[in-house]
Amino acid sequence: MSGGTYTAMDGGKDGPMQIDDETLMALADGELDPARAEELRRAIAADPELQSRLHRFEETRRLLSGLRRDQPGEDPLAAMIRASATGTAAPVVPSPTASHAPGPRPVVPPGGTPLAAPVRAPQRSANLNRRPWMAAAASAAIVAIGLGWWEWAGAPAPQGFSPAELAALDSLPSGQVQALDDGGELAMIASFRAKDGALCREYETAQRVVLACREAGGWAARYAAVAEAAGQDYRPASGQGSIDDAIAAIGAAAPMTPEEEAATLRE
Amino acid sequence: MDAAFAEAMIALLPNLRRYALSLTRRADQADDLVQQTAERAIANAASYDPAQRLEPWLFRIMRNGFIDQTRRQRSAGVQLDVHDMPEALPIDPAPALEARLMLRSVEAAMAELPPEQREILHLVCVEEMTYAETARILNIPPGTVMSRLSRARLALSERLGIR
Repeated sequence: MSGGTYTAMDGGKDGPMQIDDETLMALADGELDPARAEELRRAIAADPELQSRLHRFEETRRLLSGLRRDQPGEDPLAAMIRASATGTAAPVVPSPTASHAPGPRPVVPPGGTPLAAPVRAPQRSANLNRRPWMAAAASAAIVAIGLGWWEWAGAPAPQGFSPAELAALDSLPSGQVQALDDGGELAMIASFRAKDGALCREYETAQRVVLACREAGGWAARYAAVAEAAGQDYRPASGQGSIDDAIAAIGAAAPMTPEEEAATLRE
Repeated sequence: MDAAFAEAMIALLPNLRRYALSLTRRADQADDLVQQTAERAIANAASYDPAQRLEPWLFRIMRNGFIDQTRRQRSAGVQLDVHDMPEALPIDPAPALEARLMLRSVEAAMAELPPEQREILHLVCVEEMTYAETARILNIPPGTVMSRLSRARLALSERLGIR
């Protein structure tokens, strides 16, 4: 018998088999190898209690599969996707790897969010450029070079947060907005737990988006970018990449839930 | 991006729409999310490894896009729940009443679960992702997939009165 979770199965005929819920679920989901599944099924056949526990996993899966419904007809996006396939058949930027072979440069980092590529992506067909963020993502890194953030924004240095910003970092829940001294507003976006355990928070003002982490000496900015005129897109203050890259760089996964955040802020 | 890649993606659009609706629970946001995902996938087609299945790759892009969107939603206005808008749900032609009622109660039970549980149930039980694929989409260890999924399954079965 191999495998950690099933080692108690040799418990003999007298006691009930010690098979945990996760193992039963893996059986219901077809995640076990056939030999192990067969072994488990024999044990379950002799044990009504195991049968009813297994039933809960099988039944939830069966019922949920009912939600797998398709809408009739072709999806409205199909035409757009097809058009962009033909549109990139002759790439403007010479690229022998323009098909979906793994390219030499990873465009999607481990965090999964596409990077603002340092190399300009091949031209897309016009209908894909409707979204401003697409153009921004492609050009942000280039635009940022030589663009000093301080003179551009005229805002306080990131290491020197204003009192209102510090107060917001210390206590403002994500999703809430607080007035700033200059008449603007600060919107707290989300909190994260960095890989090193530090609390990190992302917020936006009318001028900038900032990622700050709580360290021994207080709050320190890990990322800052200034807002474009439209207030929709951001230029990195230094280097390349986006706020997503910065969040990926601190090793954060999903944002904290409101409960986690509240508990962490009380610390 | 070549034509085969485009067709493979088109074939998965219904799956993307379901997942988007499960994530956002709002028809309008789901539409935006699917479009954004398609655009990002096209822009990053070169980074797709054809040895991997396309579906988890697309789901991962979608989920990251959704998280990004969620972070940026400030105190969003009135959030219309898809379950308050029956017309937003795909309508079956004429299923038996009982089956439809059951479907409704499954949907209602799902809606009551924490987003974390609803999401993993959707990926594994509706979209039929494997545990390994789900771990990659959610960026969590496989062991966490199993513990979270089993808690979610038990919570759902509790709500549905499955014994």
